Amino acid sequence: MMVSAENVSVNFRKGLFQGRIKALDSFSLNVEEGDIFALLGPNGAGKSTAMYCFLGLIQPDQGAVSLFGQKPEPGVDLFREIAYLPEEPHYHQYLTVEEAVRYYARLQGIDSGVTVTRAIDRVGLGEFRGLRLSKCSKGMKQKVGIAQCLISDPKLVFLDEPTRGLDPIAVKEFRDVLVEMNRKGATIVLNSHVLSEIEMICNRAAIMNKGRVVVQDEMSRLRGTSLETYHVECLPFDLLPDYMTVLVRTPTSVKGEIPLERLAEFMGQMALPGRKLIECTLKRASLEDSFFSILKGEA
Amino acid sequence: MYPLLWANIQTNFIFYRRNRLLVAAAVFIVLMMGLTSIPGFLFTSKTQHLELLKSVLQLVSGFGTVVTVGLGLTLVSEHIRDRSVKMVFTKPCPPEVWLLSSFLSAGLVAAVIFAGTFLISMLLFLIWGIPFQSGVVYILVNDFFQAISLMAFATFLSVVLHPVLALFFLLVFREGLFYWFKIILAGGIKATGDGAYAPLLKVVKMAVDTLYMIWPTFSPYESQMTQLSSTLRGSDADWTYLGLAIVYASVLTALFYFLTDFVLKRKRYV
Repeated sequence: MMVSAENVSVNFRKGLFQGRIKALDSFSLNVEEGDIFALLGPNGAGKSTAMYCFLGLIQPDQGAVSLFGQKPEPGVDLFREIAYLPEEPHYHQYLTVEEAVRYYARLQGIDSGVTVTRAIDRVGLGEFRGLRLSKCSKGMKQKVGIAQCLISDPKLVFLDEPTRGLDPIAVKEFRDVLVEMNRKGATIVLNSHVLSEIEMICNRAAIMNKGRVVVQDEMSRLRGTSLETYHVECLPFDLLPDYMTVLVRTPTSVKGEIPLERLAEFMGQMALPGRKLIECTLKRASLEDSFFSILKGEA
Repeated sequence: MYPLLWANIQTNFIFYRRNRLLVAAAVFIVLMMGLTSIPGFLFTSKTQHLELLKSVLQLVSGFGTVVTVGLGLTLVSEHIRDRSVKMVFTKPCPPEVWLLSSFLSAGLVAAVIFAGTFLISMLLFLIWGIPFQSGVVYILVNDFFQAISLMAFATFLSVVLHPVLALFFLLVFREGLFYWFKIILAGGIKATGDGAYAPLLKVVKMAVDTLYMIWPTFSPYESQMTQLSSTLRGSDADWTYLGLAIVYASVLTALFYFLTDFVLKRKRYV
């Protein structure tokens, strides 16, 4: 197992004499080698806390976390194989773009100017290499974060809200970079609120709520076939079947939804004289639909 | 480990160079030094020159200590507060290496400041025609190690407290304060006799005595240096005490280094 968490609990103190908040509550997760794994959930679900636990930045109050079978602790040698992009731009603001990427590269044991320049150019920050991070925009800082992830050839990549602050072109480029990294053998774990983006690149995901993993599965299964229906449009006729949910009815047509398993029966009805099917399309459930339905069920 | 240390030290130097507060402090030191020395050029007597040299030495050495403490305190606390330390600890760079680089960076800057102070003193000895007094070396070496141990203590405080609180703690809770409490409490116990508050005062005194015993002192042989500070003569210096002071400061620095490292490893970097 590349990344694993077993019954992890993390509590935070609200303040002095103010009790505690459960950020993670019996959180368990497994990420396999080669996965592009997404952690999904509403704000405060514990996604970032889970990531901090994986990175050894927080030691859990209970349970165990392991990366490559080892316990993660700050600065251990394990991080030679790991890249991390933080959610907030917590970089060394007093450094310039080039100094920052070079510094992070040197911490990874890479002291090659060419690699640093290539990574900076790749994210399109070539002309801003001399600009201090404190003067950079949010998107530019995010690109610095991406550049420092590109300098090594990591086996495991943690990305906390990676496309936050990026323009659509940069988002597309970033997606390509991720897919390429994954093809080269990197396992990717990411947090994001952009479900359409997750759907596009991830093969597995976990939906979290209130510090727990509600469901964890393959993306295709997570989308849920039970949520798939046929959208149909036909000429109006009397005695519409009861399994058909009418969405729009006009004098010239009826639009509605029918369950997958009733398609043959519906087609049989359409074959009767005086009836005409105008359109029939499969409506696939999106991750967004599943996400809401799972969280709604949880509530 | 050395490439990691060097990468961190170089970055720390950039931090110092671009930190406005530290640059302002350095400029202030140079200005104060210049302003204090100017009257010396109007004096004619060597005694007056020596007195002025002593005050310049005292002033610059004091500022050197303040700057060294400031370097350690700001470097570690700012990186923790702005959370950039997350970027370091999620790379193969353990807290002990990062902390060591911070101590070394502050130490190197302190060494340059104290060496500079020595050179300035030499220059003033030459300009004013006063025979060189080797006690200057004793004082500067002693002050340098004292500054380093204070910096280590300040760094430790800055990882457990807010930096402003750490500074307040450093300035207020000193060995002398506990000594003063001891005297006051001893007087109080004597005055109370067998009164109702006597047991309570005794318990408080015991606590203060314990604190006084364990509280670090940063100038352990200060009393042995009184004569030397007034004459700057090497013959008035007991060099054994300097050796002991260096050992004491090194042990104290190592202790606070390990304590800070212990806290850094257990801290939650959210």
